[in-house]
Amino acid sequence: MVWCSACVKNVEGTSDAGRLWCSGCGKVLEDHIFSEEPTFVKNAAGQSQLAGRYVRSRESEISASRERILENAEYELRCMRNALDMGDNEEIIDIAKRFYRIAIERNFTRGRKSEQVQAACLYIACRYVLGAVFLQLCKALRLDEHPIVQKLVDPSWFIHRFTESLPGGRDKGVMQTAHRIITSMKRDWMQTGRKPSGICGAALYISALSHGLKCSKSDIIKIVHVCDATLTKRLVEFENTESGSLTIEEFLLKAKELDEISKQPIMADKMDDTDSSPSEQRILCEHKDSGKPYAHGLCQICYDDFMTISGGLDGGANPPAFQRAEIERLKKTSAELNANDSGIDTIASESLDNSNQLSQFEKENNTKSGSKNKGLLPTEPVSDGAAMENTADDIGTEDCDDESDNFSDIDDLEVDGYLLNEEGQRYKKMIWEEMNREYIEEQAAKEEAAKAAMDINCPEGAKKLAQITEAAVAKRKKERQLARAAEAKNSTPAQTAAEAVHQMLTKKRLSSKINFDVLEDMFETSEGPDVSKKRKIDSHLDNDNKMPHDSEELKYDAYKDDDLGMEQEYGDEEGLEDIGYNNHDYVEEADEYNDRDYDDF
Amino acid sequence: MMETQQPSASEIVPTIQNVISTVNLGCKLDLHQITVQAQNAEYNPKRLHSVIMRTREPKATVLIFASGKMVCTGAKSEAESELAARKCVRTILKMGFDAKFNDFKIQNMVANCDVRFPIRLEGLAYANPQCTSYEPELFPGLRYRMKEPKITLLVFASGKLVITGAKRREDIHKAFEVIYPALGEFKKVCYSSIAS
Repeated sequence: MVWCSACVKNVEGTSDAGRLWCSGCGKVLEDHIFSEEPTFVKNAAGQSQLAGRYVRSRESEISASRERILENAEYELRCMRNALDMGDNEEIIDIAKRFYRIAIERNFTRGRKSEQVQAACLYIACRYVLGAVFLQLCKALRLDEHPIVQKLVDPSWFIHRFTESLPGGRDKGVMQTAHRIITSMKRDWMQTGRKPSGICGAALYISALSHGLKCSKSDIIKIVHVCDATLTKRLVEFENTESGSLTIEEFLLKAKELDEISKQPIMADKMDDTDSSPSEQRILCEHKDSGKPYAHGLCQICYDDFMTISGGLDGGANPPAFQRAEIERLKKTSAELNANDSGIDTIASESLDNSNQLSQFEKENNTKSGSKNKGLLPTEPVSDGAAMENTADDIGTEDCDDESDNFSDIDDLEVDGYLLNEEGQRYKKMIWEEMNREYIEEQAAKEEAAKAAMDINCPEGAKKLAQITEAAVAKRKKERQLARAAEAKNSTPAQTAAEAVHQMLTKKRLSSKINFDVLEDMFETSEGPDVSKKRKIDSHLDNDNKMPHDSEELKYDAYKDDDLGMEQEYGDEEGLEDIGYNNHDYVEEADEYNDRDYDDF
Repeated sequence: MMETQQPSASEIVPTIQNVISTVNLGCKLDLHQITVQAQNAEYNPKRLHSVIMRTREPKATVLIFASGKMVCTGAKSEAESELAARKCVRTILKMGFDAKFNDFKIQNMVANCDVRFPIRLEGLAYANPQCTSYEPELFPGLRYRMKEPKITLLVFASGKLVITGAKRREDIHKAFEVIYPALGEFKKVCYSSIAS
């Protein structure tokens, strides 16, 4: 029974299609039309807007935007998976999605490209090593202690994949030889600290060549993704090892022998070899709680892994970096010995003796004088430097307690040398203002805008002014950037090395110390008198006027661009002529004051 | 080939390469004025909002900010760092600013040393999974994060080390002493014959 105001009594209502109407007079009493589709209404400004609000669904605690993000991520992951030809692997997507969700919750996606994070999640899901993003994500996902991350990459794992891409196709012999070469490299300490792809590339190259496959270095480079220099370096290093000088048959024989030996059980006295006392036989690897100490603080599993990945502690050659260091050390010691023997100048030899003694005994002295170590001498001391340092250090030690403004110890002469006199200050000011003109202009504009904004009289107008000036400044910046980019595009490639340098100098404006006048003259003389004349006459021609020329005139065209570029450069400096200095003097002054700083060090 | 002797831990001492310190001058500074008045100062506001002042003796670089704070880098010892900072503060004082030398603090010290034997970084990585990060694909050195003292060491296969993150010299020595035996564990050994 519903009340009808027209009939002024309670009536039975008939409901039909969402409407309730009075059975007496037919007036519509209730009108509840529900629409399942989103409806639109016009808001106050006259624009259509979606009726209703977004409500958090009670089922999950994810907000609508987050759901959108996850859906988007899923889509992207699928695309990536398809691009990588992984087939219809739904599991991968699920795992990757879960990782991504955790990453979002830990705020990992902020400041990073979402594609990168998605790729990293997919990567982890596929159990492979990616890079820095992967590492950080592992940290964020608290995967630090997880076994996947811990396992170091063994170059041998890649051989299988890389051999397939070789021109000869998958060749078991090649794969095996490559494996053996890598094992040999490991034994010779070539692989510790190196990217596995470089090692792989070298092993593959050698193995392919020795099996008669025709593959060049560039083929390998394409497969393995290293650069030519790295590949060459690895090959040279391998050449220097013992195994490098064997023929392939000898090498394979030796490899077989070593295989046999490594299969023998590791003798118990390996543990006694280590210097550690019995109490130190702790287990340090990840299997702290579960395993038993086997060798070097590792459980057996980890130790075996370690041996396969690295090749063990004994070995043939030293790592190349260590070899280089050894050579340098030997050079130094032999140089010192020679210097000692010669004794041409007694003073010189004395100082050298001192330096020798110092370098040998400094270590002992330093360990003896524990807390007095404030003045450690450098490893390559020069006698003057050492003396100066000593005094400086003494002063330093005195001062350490006195933190107040007692600067009496500081050498006033030196400090006064740092300060400029009146004239110098004037010049420096001009130079600085000249170099930072753009910045000063921007600052002036900003200040004006700020002042105008603070003005109480017309707040709106002032705000507008501020906005306009800011926009103008930004626009000017952009215009300048675009002009520069356009210039870079339009300028033809230089014909000679001299022109290339010229172009670079004008473009990059590397230094204000370079006297462009002189540079111009330099190029003038090298190009010849005809070209220079042409340049002066035709300098007003614009850049687009490019008709097919012969080589000389082509040079001239390129020169035109440079010339115009140069004129721009001069434009800045010409402003100074008003002050009364010509270009040469100005540049010289700059050199005077700047060179002193930087050349004396 | 002549081999260099392999000394024990007490003989090797890390050499300090760089000391970074900060000091507070306690007053606002006008960077324009400082640049104009000082010969050894450079100021490029588009790149960095601080004056870069270089001292000749001791050779160091000092960054001076408008707030009155100063950072001194490039010195080879704590005393040198303090001396360089003092020289700069004195220079600024002479320009007429009311500068003081407050809260001088060494923030970081970097040292390096050489243990003179090759090291199997993989072994170190296996044996110390919690404090070690070794990714040869990214960087050839192994990063060892020691918790006590709180120091980071970079260990390379050639046997060279870089020790950084220390605020005091003793920390560096202590860290080196702690890691030396761990390194020795994975030292390269030479067996004269392979065949049994």
